[in-house]
Amino acid sequence: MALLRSLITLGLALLTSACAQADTTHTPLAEAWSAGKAIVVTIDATPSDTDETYGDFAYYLNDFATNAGDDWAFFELDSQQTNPDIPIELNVTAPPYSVLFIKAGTPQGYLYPGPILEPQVYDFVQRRFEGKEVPEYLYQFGPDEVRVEMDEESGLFKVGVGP
Amino acid sequence: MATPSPFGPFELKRGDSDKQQTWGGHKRPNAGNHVTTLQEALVAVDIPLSIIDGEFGPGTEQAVKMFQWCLTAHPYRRFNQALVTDTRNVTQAVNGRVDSQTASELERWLDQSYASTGDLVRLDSALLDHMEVGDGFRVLSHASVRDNDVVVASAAADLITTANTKAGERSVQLVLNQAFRVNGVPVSGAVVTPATRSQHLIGHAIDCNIVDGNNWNNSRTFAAGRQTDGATNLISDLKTAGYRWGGDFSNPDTPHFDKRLNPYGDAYGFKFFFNQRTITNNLPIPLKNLE
Repeated sequence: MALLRSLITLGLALLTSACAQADTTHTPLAEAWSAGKAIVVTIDATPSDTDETYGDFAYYLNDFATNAGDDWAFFELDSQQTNPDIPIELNVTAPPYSVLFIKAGTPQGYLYPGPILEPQVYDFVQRRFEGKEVPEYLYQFGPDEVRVEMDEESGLFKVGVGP
Repeated sequence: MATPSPFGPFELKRGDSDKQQTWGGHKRPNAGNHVTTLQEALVAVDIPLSIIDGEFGPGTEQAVKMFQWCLTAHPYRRFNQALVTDTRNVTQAVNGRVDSQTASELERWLDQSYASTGDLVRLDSALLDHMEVGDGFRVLSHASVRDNDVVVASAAADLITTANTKAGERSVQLVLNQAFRVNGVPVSGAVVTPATRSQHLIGHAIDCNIVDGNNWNNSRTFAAGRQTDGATNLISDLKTAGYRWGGDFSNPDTPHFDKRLNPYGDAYGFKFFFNQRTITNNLPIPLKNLE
């Protein structure tokens, strides 16, 4: 696991480096951010046909995406590949299948560190981002709060610990 | 005197051919269309078979196996637009050979106007004292299914009833997030590629949270080792009863419990086909009595 995290960290560092050199101000990610959309980024979500954990993760994510509406945008981040369309610098631990939620104008983003296996997690984030009341029990499903800053010049999204 | 079988006085099997006048593995001089008759009978009871050509190839063998699986796996038969329970208990090898029992059962199905179906059933969650459907639970879009219905395979209904009973004994409540899952999300519209061999796709799995007082035992609770004693005890009970808990997987899936069928076996494949077809073709799903 430690090796894997190291590799992810390395991959993200490479990605950051690549992003610094690319024009990232007009990426689909930046456009979704500018449009005020809530953004969901899945991290290193490698498909698996028979893995029940993956199956549940994929089902709840796809179900949410199907029903969330046009104000939500979805992206996949492969930390081992350089993808200038998704210029994110993650300064938090994000194991495979983690899900990042960010939205312009909100006090913080959220990172769920690992596969989301309960629809209540999406319900919590959706209510928070859309300014709706959150039932008390849903706070038990809340992901970790993260701080999100977008560098207007480079278009790079920097995600760090805490709000 | 017994009526001769329309499929001939021999055990039809792979390699038989009407054109070659080969039936039961041997060339025979008499005329007949036994393989064609078999294929037409299989189609008549709604077993999938794409070609009726008098050749007993792998497709026909698979169709015979699917019929044999229906004979022994569950008692449900379609009759007109309704569902009936067949009272005849049959023990049948699923081997793709048309032995005397397979032949006589196929004839009986034709006589009774039976058609094949899967083993999905509905359970009324309102009758479960210690289990409820959660806010995120998606009610299946199907003519038979009502708001409180939980759809599972009949063969796995005991997972629900046992979990409900054990939850009561441990003074916890189960909140269901999902049971049977429709295999229909198009990949092009999906954010990530769906799994295609999950136990949910045959109705053998549930996802649930164990609520103990005000504590929702969820994935992160388990990851942190902060689950309540009630949750720990219930999980132990269900494992002792023979069910699989996703928390034991190499990639833990703590809300998941199932009654596993080998996802690469014939039984999984047949159940997948018939249960998914029940949804896509809007075939009836019976309400199972919880008494």
